[in-house]
Formats: sequence, structure tokens, C-alpha cells
Amino acid sequence: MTYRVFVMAVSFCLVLGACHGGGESLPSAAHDVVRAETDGVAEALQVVRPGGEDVIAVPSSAVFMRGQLEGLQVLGPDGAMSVRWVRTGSEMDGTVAVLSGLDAGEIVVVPYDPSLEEGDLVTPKQ
Amino acid sequence: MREGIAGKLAKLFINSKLTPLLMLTALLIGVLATFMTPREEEPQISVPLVDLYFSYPGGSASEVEERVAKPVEKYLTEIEGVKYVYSTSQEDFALVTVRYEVGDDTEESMVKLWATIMKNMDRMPRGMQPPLVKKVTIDDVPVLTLTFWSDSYGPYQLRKVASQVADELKSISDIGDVHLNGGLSRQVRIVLDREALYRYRITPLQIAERLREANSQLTAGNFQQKNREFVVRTGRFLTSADDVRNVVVGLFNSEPVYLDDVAEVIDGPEEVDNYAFFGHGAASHAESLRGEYPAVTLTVAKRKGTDATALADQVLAKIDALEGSVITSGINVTETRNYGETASEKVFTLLEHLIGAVIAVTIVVGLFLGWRGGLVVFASVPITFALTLLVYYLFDYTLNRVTLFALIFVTGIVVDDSIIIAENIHRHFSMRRMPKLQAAIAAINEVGNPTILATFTVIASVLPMVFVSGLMGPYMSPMPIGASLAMIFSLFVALIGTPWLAYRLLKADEGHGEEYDIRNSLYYKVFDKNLSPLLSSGWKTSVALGFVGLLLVGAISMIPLKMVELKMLPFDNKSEFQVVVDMPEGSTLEETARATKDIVSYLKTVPEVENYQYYVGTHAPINFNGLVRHYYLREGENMADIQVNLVHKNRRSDQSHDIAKRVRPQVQEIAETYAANAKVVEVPPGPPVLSTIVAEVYGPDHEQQIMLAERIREIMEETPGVVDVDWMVEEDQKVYNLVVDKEKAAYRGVTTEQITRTLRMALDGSEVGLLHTSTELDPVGLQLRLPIEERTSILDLSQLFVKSQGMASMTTRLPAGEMIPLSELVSISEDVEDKSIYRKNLRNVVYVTADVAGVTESPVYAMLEMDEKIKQLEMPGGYNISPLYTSEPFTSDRLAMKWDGEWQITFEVFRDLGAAFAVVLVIIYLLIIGWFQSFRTPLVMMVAIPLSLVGIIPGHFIHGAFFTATSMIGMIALAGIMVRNSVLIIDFIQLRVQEGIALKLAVIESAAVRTRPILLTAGTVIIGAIVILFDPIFQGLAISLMWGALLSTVLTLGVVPLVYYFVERKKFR
Repeated sequence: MTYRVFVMAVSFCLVLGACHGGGESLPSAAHDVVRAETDGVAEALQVVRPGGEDVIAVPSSAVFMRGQLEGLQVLGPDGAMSVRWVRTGSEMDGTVAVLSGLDAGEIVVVPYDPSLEEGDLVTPKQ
Repeated sequence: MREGIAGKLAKLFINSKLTPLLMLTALLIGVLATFMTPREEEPQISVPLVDLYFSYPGGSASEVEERVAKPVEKYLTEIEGVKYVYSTSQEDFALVTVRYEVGDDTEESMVKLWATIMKNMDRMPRGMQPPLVKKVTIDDVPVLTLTFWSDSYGPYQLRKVASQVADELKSISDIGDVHLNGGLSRQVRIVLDREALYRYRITPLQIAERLREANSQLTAGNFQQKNREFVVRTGRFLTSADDVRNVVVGLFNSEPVYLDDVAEVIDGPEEVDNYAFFGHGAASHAESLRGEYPAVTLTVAKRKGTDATALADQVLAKIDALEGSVITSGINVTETRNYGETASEKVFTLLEHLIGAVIAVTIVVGLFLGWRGGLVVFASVPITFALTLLVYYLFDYTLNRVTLFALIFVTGIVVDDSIIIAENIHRHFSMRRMPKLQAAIAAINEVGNPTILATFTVIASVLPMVFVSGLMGPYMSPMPIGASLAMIFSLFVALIGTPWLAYRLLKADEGHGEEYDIRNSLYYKVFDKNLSPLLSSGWKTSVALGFVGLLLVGAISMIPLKMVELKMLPFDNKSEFQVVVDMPEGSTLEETARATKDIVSYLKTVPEVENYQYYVGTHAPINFNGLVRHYYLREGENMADIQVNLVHKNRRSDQSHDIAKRVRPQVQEIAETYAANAKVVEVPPGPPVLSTIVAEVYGPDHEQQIMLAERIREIMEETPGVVDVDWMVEEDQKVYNLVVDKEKAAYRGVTTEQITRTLRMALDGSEVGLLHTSTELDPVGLQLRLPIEERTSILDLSQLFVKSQGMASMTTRLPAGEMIPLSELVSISEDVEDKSIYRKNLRNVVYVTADVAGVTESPVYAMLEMDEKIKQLEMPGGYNISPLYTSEPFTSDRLAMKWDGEWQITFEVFRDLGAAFAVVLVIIYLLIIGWFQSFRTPLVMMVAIPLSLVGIIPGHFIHGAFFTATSMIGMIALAGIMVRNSVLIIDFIQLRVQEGIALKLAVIESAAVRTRPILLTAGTVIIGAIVILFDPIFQGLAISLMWGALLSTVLTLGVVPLVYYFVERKKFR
């Protein structure tokens, strides 16, 4: 009878194990790297406006709106594009002051290119 | 034949027609109750917290502390039932939090609080308003959150749609608060044109006044004419942007100046003050992971005591109905939290396990007693549980993890009563000495009384756990209560139902037809061979007992050797976690958004992430953790929350805690590049605390406290295993103080109030009224403000004007009407913003917080390690500090430090459980004395209890599990169960001795006879426990029960008879 007990215990444990183990495999993350070209880029410059204020300026055409949010397409050191949300100030001479969200020296896509997607590796057309 | 209560009851019911009827009714009612009881995942932990918000405009942090926080704390501490009083003093504002003893009546506490506050209002600074009192309850935590996101619409439209949907939802019964997180509300923005203002000689203050005056409407009265009554209304509210534009704000060259001439009136979204986005993770099946979408999250809370699942289902059905109409195409709605669903799932899984446990136990019984015996037992267990579930329903318990585990863990024990009775009836049937009915009654009489006693010992061993204090109390109390109820019902079923069933089902001709003599059984032979030599020889017994003692010492030593670690509760496998991001004070919203986006772009690549939402400048939907940690106050521009949802646990192999550990290093690395602090916050398994590790620094001087806190922070960062180190001391934030030259202002005929209000209006915007629209659901404010481009150069105050009031100001003889630039009346000085001052229980405190992960999972070990280093720190004044563990420092003239956080609760729980254990031992001792009428016998019986440790601790080591609060519960419950074994053995010995058998023979016979029921008992307890093994939180309980029962049983069968023999042999010689 102890043999019966042993067999029951083992099979029971196996059944329990089967119930809880196993699962579907996860979808692998999509790693699509898209290369794209764009018309041009510009560097965010620190300028002094007449009136004495110190601002960081980019060409006005680089700024796009998503509803009420203002954004820029910024290229990282490896050329990857990422959308940056910013607050803009006054416009002057075709450039707009970026009050927050962008550092001087960063590269933005000019003019705003709606075909580009987050993560694209962008090279400016020559 | 002694006839006890058991026998009498059995005689009554064994042939009654009522019995099967009673059993069936009980079963049906129980099943009904199961469906009617509301379900949730965790029991309602009532956190008795109340927040009081005191407003003291203009006060610096230390002023607020002195004038407001300190006096308030004093009188609040005097209220009965208040356990802790915390306060935070900042500029203009104080937050005082009161925490009560758990279990206090909430209504009564609130009334006492109100009465005390009102009574002391005269001690507050003059003119101060009564505080805003907010009671914190678990029902404030939303059970369902839906995120509205879109590729084409922006935050303004999203919020509008979500607002509409929220309105539709309010009609659902049992719905609680509905809130919106994120998005931009509608506002009529009056953007001032500085140049125009100067040209027309109008000031912002003037405009505010005119708008207020124009926006009025009154019911002036009524009059009667020709037998009818007419109501007269005068004035007209501003109902549209055009109305606002046409308001006359002043005169210039005898021509009216309209608002339109000096400002731009924009009816639309307010200025961006938060960013909220939704995105897909690597585990979702979205085509592209790369986008993120503006989002607005709608949160739904439930009313107290209602069922989350039902509510969630109704809301989702309503949303489906609104798709296409209110929810325009182009807007997607994703369920980002559904506690109703997880609750249902959990409860059904547990019910499944419960049934599984019952079946498993029945099979085990069947192996020993044959299929008929198994059937008898199988019929009795569901009835017991059905009755218990009925009681749950009647007493307003919900079906949750704790209440159901209480049932699962007693499955093995509940069955015992029936087993013992059935087994003994079976044995007597096999002996064939009496006709069936008499045999049955005799069998019941024989074991009835010890069975009753044994039931009460088990109840006695679990019930004292009800008295665990603190936040864990209500969390754990369903366990002892549920278990005790089940035991009582099982006793009734065993005495009433089981005999009825056994009498009819068990066959008398089981066995081999010959008279049953115990001496021929295998058990007897085994015991005879092994015990007899020991019984005859004193020193052999001593060696045997010594060996067992050694095993015990070895087992206990595994704890100090760190082979088994202590932790209060292990993490559960949840489907979410949060990342809380704090940028240095002074960071802009967009900077914070940038850092958060960077972190998120890593998180979305983690394979188990389904989706995420992040909120910058506003808080994420609150969860229980957030409620206690005040995350709902996180509205600063430098704060962000990321909510990460993982795929269902069935679709991933890693538990949520392992995933959180895995992502933490990378998340913090990214945060560091922005000088930010990012913490990975998981749902706590038990009551939430400020942080897992909290170091409270007390002392005489704020500066010194900060210095010590800094050193402690460094030590924490160096200690391996300690992560997410942070402290509640803000970074220096630059402040521009605009100081009014009062004398000059007075001479020019301008009041200080004019200046401050004008400045406020220009910078922060002032709401000067509401737009009275009938169509809008939320109020639409009229906000007066300078355009954003002109707010950057606020330092250039020469462009902002106030108008002299002339002689009306009573301080000058100059004529009124002159436009004076602010730069002539105000000077600018730079300063550092006041830092918040924290206090706890009437003392100033500086908090340093951290979490543990990786090398060590239990905070205790990290704390002990850090203690060594902290003790070596030298304080100014030449002394050293020794960290306190359980109480606050006695004096405040020296620096001191106390460990708090999870440790505090751990300490309280283990202390209370330890005390409960001691009480349990005493009660068991008394119970047994009552029955056996001897002082020595109970001590012999209780030898079984420490023997369980030989199994419990190494068992944890084998499983690689922590010794947690649930393990301790298992250990305590086991005491009552194992004692039963000893009771059965010794009771039988005494029985046989009374019948004239020699002690030595009686001992061996008793061991042999009682082995089968004892093994059965142990077997069912173990099988019942195996089922619980898979739940992360209650695993400790299962391990304790399994291994404790195994080792204790095996050892008890040998040790108890031996000890009893040697203790009693002189008496029976």
C-alpha cells in the first residue's frame, strides 16, 4: 500500500506542475531600423535678442503642433530622430525662441518632416 | 463504556431523517453565499489616515512651522486613538497627517478630529481659514482606469471627450469618484498686450475689476400684474468669448476702450501644464512600437463594500455603447487597470485550488480507508466550507486571497475530525465484536472526546492571531477567524453527519474475515522492533532523544547562518509597476518630459511590457501605495510618473518582482544622465509604507540633521543590495524676491496690494471669473495673464504699470491716474527657496529612504550591515550614534537615528505573532490539563511543537524561500495540529492501561494503533498545503505546514510515547 501512496503522490505532483508551468512565448520586440533622408537640419543656437534677452533659437519651420503641444524633431548623436516637446516664446526673423525642452547645440530637422517616425536614422540630403 | 457528548449527539442523529436534510441545506446555502459575496484580490486594509491642509499665504517655511504646524500637532496628539502625527511645512502651506490606531471607528474618529480642530481655531494665527480635511480611504483608489489616446487628436479634444464619457458614467449604480488625469481643460485666456495697455493707460487690475463687475446677474425681484407674477432678472453673465471681448475696461480720450483693444481673448485650451502620453510595449501586438500618443486617463473608483468586478463590467459595457458616438473614431480607449478582473481571477483560481485540495485529500483518505471511507470524508468537507462561506457572507467579509487561503490551509485539518471518527468506526466494524449500530456508537464514544479536545486545540492555536495589531491586523484577521469557523463547523459535521454517512456506507465485511488483532498488523511489528529496545534501556533513550535535540538546534541555527532569511511578506506576482521620476527642483516641465521619455524608450523594449502611460507635471492614477505616500500631491513641473503594465502572468515566466529588479539598473542609469532620481515602485504585498527602508534622523538642529542624513545617504549608496536611495531634502531652488519699496510706493499713491496683485496676474495668471455656459460640463475660467514670451523677461519690469490712486490712497497729494512702471517701485533680489520642514510626533525629522533588491531581499540584513558603518560616524560634539529600532529617541538634544519603513511593520507583526504563540501554548496547556487532569502530561504532549521546527526551517532552505509572516502563521497553527497527535497517542495509552494492560505494551500498542489516523492527518495537512505552494505570498505557510507536519509527525510517533513512558513508568509500577 505504501507503493500505491508513492505513485499517487508522484503523479499528483506532476499534474500540479503541468497545470502551472508553460505559457505562450512572448512576441519578440520589433527591431525595425528605418533609414530616412530629410531636406535639412539646423543647429539650435544661443542668440541674444534685441532687448537683451538670451534665448535658444531655432528656425520657425522646425516647430510642429500636435493639438496644443509644440514639438521639434531632434536628431541624437547617432542620427536617430526623436520627438521633443517644447515651449516656444517670441518669433523674430524667421526664428523662434525655445524657452524649455532644448539645449543649445542640438540638431533639429528643418522644416518639420511628417514622414519621419520616432527612431528613424536620419541623414540630411546633400 | 464512558458516554460523552460525542456519543450522545451521535445516538441522536445517526438514524435521524433530519440529518441528510440538514447536510443538503447547508451545502446549498453555502454555494449560494459564494456567488453573492463580493470579491476582491486583497482584503480591505483600512488605513486610518486623515490629511489636513492648512493655508498660510506669505509665510516662510519656518514661520508656517512655528505658527501652524507645531500648535496643530500638539492638540492633535492629544486626541485619543491617534498614533502618529506627521507634518510638512512649506512656504504658504502646511500638510498635517494624522494616523489612528487600526480598528478605531472611522466616523467617531472624524467627529473627534473636527471637534478638536474647531475648538482650537482661536489658537491659530488671525484670519486663518479652517483646514481642508481629507480622509484617506482605500475606496479612493480607482478600480478601473481607461486611457483615451489618439494619433490625430490633442490633449484638449481628448479631455473633452473623456469628460463627456465621465458624465455618462455617473448614472451607473455603485460608482464612486470619477476623475480625469492629464489633458488640457477649456479656458478663456485673456492675453494682455503690454504696449496697448500703456497706450490706453489701462492697468491689469482695472481689467480684472471691470470683468468681475460685468459678469454679474441677479434676480432682482418680482412684480405682479393682471393676476400673474413676473420675475425680473438684471445684468447678464458673460457667456461667450465675444461677450468678454466687448467688455468696456476704461476710457481714453472720451472713447470707450474695449477689452479687445488691449488684449487677445482666446477661447480654447489652457496653457500646457502637463504632458501625458500612452505607448505600446514590446509584448503588445501593435504594428509599430515607435509612436507615443497624447492621452487622458479616466479613473473610476467604487463605493465602499461593493463588488469591483460588477462595476468594472458595467463601465466597460457603457464605454462600448459610446464608441462611435461620444467617443469619436480616431480615439482609442485602452483598459490600463482593472482590479475587478484581477479580483475575479484570483478568487476563481483560489476556489479551484480549494476544490483541488478537497479532491486530493479525499484520494489520500481513500487509499487508507478504501473508497467508501473516502466518500464519507468527501461528503463532509464541502458542507463545512459551505457553512463557513455563509458566515463570511453574513458578516460582510469579501472573498479575497486571505479569506480563501484560510479555508485552503485548514482543508487538511478540517477533514481530520471526520477521518478520525470514520476511521475508528471502520476499525470497530473490522473487529466485529458488536452489531453495527453499537459498534458505531462505541467507536464514536472512544474518539469523540479527544476529537472535541483536538478541535479546540487547533482553534486555540489560530485564534490568538486575531490580536495582531497595526495595519497587518485587519489584513490577517480573516485567517484565524475563517479557520476557527471552519473547525467548529467541521466538528458538528463530524459528530452529526459523518456517523450517519459512515454507518450507511462503511461495510462491516471489509478486511479478512478473521477477528482483527492489532498484534498482527505491520505497524505493531515495526514499533515493537524499534521502540521496545529503547523502552527497556534508559541510556539508549537518552541517546535517541539527544539526537533529536541536535536536529532541532541545527534547524534553528539556519537562521543566524543566513541560510534562511527573514522577511515580512514576499512580493506578489502583479501585472504592473510604477517608475517615479524626480528631476532636481527648478527643472522645467519639458526637461522632465525629456528625461521621462528617455526612460520610457528603454522600458518599452522590455519583452514583458504590454503598454505604458506617463504623466509629467501631474500624477498617475493613484494606487494603494500612492495613497499612503501622498503621490496624489505630485503636481510639480519636476515630477513625473510612469505606469508600466505587463502582460498577463500566464504569458510570461518571470514574476513582476524579478522584472522590476531587472529594469532598475538601466532605468537609474538613464535618470542619472539628467541628474534625476528614478525609483521603481512595486505594489506592496502588505500594508504600504513610505519606503521599504526609511532612516529617520532626529536632532537639535536642522543643519546638523541634514549633515547626518547626507552621511547616511552615502552609506546607503555604498551598501550592495540597497537601491533607489533618495532623501526628502530638496535641491536648492533659485527664487527671485521682488521687494516693494513701501515708502516710495506710498508717496506715488500706489498700494502694496496693487503691486503684488498685478505681479501675480502677469506671471501666474489670475482667474477673474467664470464663463457662464450651459453646455460645458466643467467650469471654464477667465484667466488674465501676460503672453508666455513676455513672462521670460519678468525681470524687465519697466514694461509693467500700475496706476496711481492719487489722494484716494491716503498717502499722497499727487493726482491720480499716473501710470507708474513697476521697476520704479520694486527691487529684485535673488534667494534660495525655503526647504520643506518635516516633523513626526512633535519632533523635527529628516527622512532618507531606500529599497532593497538583488543581493539581499530582506531589509533587516541591509539595516544590520549599515548599522556597523553608522556607529562609526563621528558627530560634531564628539559622540557616536547607535541607530534605534523600535522607538523614537528619548531626548532631542543629540543627533539620533531610527529605522522605520517596512521594518516597523515587520517588527510589530512578528512581535505580536510571537506573543500570540506564547498565549497559544498557555491555552493549549490549560486545555489539556482540563481533560487529562495532570500537570506533567500536557508538557509531554507539547513536545511535539518544537519538533515541527526541525522540518519548517530546513524546509524553507530546500525551497529557497523566505521565512515570512505567513510562515510564522503556519508554525503557530501547526502547534495545535501536532498536539492532537500526542493527545491521541497518550489518550489511547491511558485507555489501555485502565483496561489492565502493562504500560510498556500499552505504549507500543498505542503507537501502532494510532499511526494510521496520525499519518492520515499529517497526509491530509500536507496535501492541503501543497496546493498553496504556488502562491507567492502564502508559500511560507505551505512550507511550514508541509515540512513541519512531516517531520513532527514522524518524530512524534517515536518521541512522545518514549518520553511518556519514562515520565510515567514510576507511577504505574
